Amino acid sequence: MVRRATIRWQSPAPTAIDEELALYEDGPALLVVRGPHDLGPTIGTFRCHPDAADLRLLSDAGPEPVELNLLLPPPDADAAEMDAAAQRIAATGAEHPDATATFYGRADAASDEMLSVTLLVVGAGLRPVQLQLDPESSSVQFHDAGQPVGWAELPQLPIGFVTPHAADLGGLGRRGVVAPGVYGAITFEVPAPSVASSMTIQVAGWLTEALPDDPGPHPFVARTVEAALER
Amino acid sequence: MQRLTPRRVVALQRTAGNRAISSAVQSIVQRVGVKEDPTSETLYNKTSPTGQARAHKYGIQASYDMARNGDSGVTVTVKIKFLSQARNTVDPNAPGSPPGTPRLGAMLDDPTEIPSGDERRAWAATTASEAVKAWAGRLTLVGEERNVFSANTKKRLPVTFNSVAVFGVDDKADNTVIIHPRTTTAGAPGHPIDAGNWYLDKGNYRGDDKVIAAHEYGHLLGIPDEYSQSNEQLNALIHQAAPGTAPSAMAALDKETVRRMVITSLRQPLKDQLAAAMPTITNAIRETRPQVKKRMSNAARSGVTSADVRSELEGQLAAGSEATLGRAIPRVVAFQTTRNFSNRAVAEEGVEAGFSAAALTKQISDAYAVALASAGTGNVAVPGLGDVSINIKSSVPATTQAGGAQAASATGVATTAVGPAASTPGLPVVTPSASLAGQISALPVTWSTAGSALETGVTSGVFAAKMASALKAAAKAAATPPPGTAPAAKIAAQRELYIRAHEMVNSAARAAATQTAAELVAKAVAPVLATSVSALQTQINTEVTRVMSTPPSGVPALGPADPNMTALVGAMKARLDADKAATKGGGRDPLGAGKAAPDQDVTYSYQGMMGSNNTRALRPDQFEPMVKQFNGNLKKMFEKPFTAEVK
Repeated sequence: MVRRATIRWQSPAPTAIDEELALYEDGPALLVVRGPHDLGPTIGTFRCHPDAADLRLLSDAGPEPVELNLLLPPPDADAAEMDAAAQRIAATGAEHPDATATFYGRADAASDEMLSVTLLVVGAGLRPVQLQLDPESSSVQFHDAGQPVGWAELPQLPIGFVTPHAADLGGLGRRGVVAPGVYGAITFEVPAPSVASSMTIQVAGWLTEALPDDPGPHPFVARTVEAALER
Repeated sequence: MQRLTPRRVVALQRTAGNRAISSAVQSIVQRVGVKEDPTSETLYNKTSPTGQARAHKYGIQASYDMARNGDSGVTVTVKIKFLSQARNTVDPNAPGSPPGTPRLGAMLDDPTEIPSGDERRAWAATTASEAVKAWAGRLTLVGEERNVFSANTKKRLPVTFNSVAVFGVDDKADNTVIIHPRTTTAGAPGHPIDAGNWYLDKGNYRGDDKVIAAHEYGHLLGIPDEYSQSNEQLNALIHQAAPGTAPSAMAALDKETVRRMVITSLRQPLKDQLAAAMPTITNAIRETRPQVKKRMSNAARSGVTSADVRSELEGQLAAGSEATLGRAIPRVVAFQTTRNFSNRAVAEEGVEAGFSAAALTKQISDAYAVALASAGTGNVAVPGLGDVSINIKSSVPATTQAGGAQAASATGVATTAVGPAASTPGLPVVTPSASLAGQISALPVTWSTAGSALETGVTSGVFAAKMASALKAAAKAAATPPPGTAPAAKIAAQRELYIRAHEMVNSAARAAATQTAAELVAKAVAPVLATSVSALQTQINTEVTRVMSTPPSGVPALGPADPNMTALVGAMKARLDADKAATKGGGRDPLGAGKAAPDQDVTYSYQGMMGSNNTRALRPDQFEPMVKQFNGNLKKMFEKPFTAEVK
């Protein structure tokens, strides 16, 4: 496949936004989300549907990647117009997952001091999403009344994601493959501050096969929606 | 009251002393409006068709009000005028658009005042105040006042940064911004967000406008951008920031730049070479399947009957079944984990899944790509300046792609590091033992020895822990499904219970076997990959040192060089040298000075508020123009020139 244009939005950690819009001569327009701009729980590839004017505007920029640092203003009117056109195209992909993973977190008491945390992943789109967890870069973050009150590293995990029927999905030390409509879970225990009333999981890892001409792996970071602690 | 002239002040100082004079004038607020001549900056933030960074010129003008409140402090105020104005949303290139239609996003008519009570006014005031938060408490002007009869008086003037919103069309202001109402969404055609157009409805816009506003505030203070800089520009910035007597940091930075150019240009050839050599590796690992299966079979037979596994299984079945089936569950679990459990089949399936050529290829390729991705990244601490990122443009790795000038050298380095392709027509493949492929292929040979990775990695304890964890996760997944997923119906009949238990036991056991097999490979391969990448970096460093800084007398001690690596390092150094020579003497703003600013292969970004903006770092030299304004307009006659102190 021949790239027609590439726009990449990025910001450094801690927000770590990383989204890439890839337009092809002979294929669909794809948006790859490796660090969601809404700091949300979904990563992966979306299929976009650009209108002709926006496609023309971006194609004029050529195939070399245009990188936009989201902590800096667009440098000039041309860059701002290109940014806006790319964002319009990207927005058309929101409801059209191609191969995405959405993460959810659940937590309940395992003992007086320990929480049993469940990380769920759900596949969506037209093909399986392929990803691998990076437990060392992931964490459980605790909150109370909207304020952070502590965080915990993930313990050593014995196994990757499994379905409700215990079927292996992988994702730990090797690629996980999550087909559309399939979901799986990983469970582990972490100590939690007594004042914590809710938690989010920062899920870090590597995304592969997100684009046909760039199999990766490339790092991703997603954050689950805040979930109440049930204890 | 008589006016204080310099002569009277000196006379008073002699009779009353400095402190009294200071207190007499302390309450006087001195003020100066600063509006420096428009100037420019050059940023390498465009991309050429060949992937190099291309320079572009931008305007910049300092404009602010500076007030000194005696010896208690200094206030710097920027007035931002917020107005309303329409933009063109008709594409002039669209069929049927009227002749003379301006470009999309062009401002139309004259700006008008935002009506009183319009929510945009409150939003503007908030945004203006947010812009200065990152600047608060950062700058102190430090100086001293000469005393004739006593020690000089040390002075510290904390600088308070203000940002004031004004709304009148004719109000004086340092900057004007158009605010678009909530009915207009940013990013719609003709409504791109830029420095002069802000939107209440950001739509899908990905930027952080508060952080950007703080950065833009710096420009109103006269501080230029410090990202997307050429080597020459960074050199000028280092000289601006570091004391004049400090040794230049550029030589070390140039060496690091060449190292990163080399590793960046080698990543894809190395991955390609590993892919070519992969059959050698996977064949070697797959030959061990019989012994791995045997060990896995034993581990599964014991592991499946562990108390943890049975307990998890019983718990899950109980949770998923009607209460009437509770008494049958232990019997069902016992049956499915003993008489009806085929440990051999589970080992067969798990090891075949984990040791398939496709699975091994993906696993090892991914691990190598991750190891390579982290090599030669991260910021560089530049003495006297701070952290700087080195950004290698795509023109550099393009030289090692097929048909590129350095493709042969890169392939040579990659072949030496990784090993030869597995299939060379007509020739037997000899994989050197020191190569990456040779080292990984040799790993399974050790698995038959006592204490090997196979013996410690595939045990009943490991198997049971993984199987129990799989069952627990499955139970949690079933109990708390994600939104939009219906929980499974409860099991109501014994036959159904047997079927579910059989499925759970075998699925969890297969998952445990597959994961155990994959971990056996992962744990064995990871240190080999890390060592290989580290050795490659050492080789690059050695060659860069040889080429860039070793005197001829020291070269023999470095040992014989790999001619391909020598060629690659030499080529990258030549590119950097050419980039530097082409921009030499251009300083920080070559386009503003009418000098050449040709395309570059590498750019640099200072990691601070006016650079990449991902940290709040500021430096004293950035405030030199402001300090100059202070010393020229607000410094008192007995005071020595003030300097900037930055937190």
